[in-house]
Amino acid sequence: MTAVSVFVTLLVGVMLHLPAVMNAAVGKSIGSARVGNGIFWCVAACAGAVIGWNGLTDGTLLRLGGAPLWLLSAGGIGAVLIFAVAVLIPQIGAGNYKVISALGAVVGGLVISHFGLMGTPQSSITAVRLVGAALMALGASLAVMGKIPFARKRA
Amino acid sequence: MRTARLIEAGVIGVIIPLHFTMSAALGAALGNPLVGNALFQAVGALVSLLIARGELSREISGKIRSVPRWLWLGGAIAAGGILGTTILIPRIGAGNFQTLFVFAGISTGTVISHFGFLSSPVARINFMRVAGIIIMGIGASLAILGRIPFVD
Repeated sequence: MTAVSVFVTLLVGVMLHLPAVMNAAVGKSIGSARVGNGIFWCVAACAGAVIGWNGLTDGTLLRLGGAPLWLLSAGGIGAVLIFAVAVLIPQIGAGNYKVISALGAVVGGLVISHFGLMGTPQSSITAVRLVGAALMALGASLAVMGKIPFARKRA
Repeated sequence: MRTARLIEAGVIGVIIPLHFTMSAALGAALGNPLVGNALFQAVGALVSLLIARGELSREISGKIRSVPRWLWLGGAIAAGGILGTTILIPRIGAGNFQTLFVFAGISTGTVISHFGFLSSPVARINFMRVAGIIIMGIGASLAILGRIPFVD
């Protein structure tokens, strides 16, 4: 993995965190998270269509017939995920959600890479990688909560 | 009940890299990540409109006009970000991508919360938060490299 890949991936991480905050602000100001999210995705679809149109080459859409159709559900899963998160956060708190979902995302990514699912590059899960994931969860807890998790306050 | 909700949060976390990888696989199958990204966004828009169906009232329509226009750019930024996932995952792998993605996301969230950007609740950066980000960085290095850095 090159330094450029690392930098661009970090940039994507920042890029995808900002819209989530902007989306939440829109939902709050119009009084409907669902409608705000719907318009948000429509803007994303328009931007995606412009980008896709500019990159459209001969035969791309013909290959759609040969692609597994279930892969198209990825966008739908994304839309449902954002809605599910909006429902879940008031019940367990934003901090708990961030930490637990971060751990799930890292472990999920490691498992996908372990099996090289969907043709992605393969890298096996090792003890060091699992320790890395555990440290990420611990670090995320400290960064999100600002205190040692489960620590009792002194009387 | 609460345990079930916490488990759901973990499941959502696992689904996040899965749907990113599906989007990347679609781009790879088409031989064109730009079009794969466009289809991802189009299906996402359709499903989100279905979820919002029935909640669009006259009152909410009126409020939509009062939203600062630049806030709608969030959708366009997200389209660019998802395009990034579609291009990067086939090159660096889902595990590496997700590790860096989570690190960047939590770090960005910490800065946004420090300044209370876009009315998000203020949580000042303190020693523990900085220590957390450093520990995350060490964890990310171990998860990506699969070995202790600088040790042969």
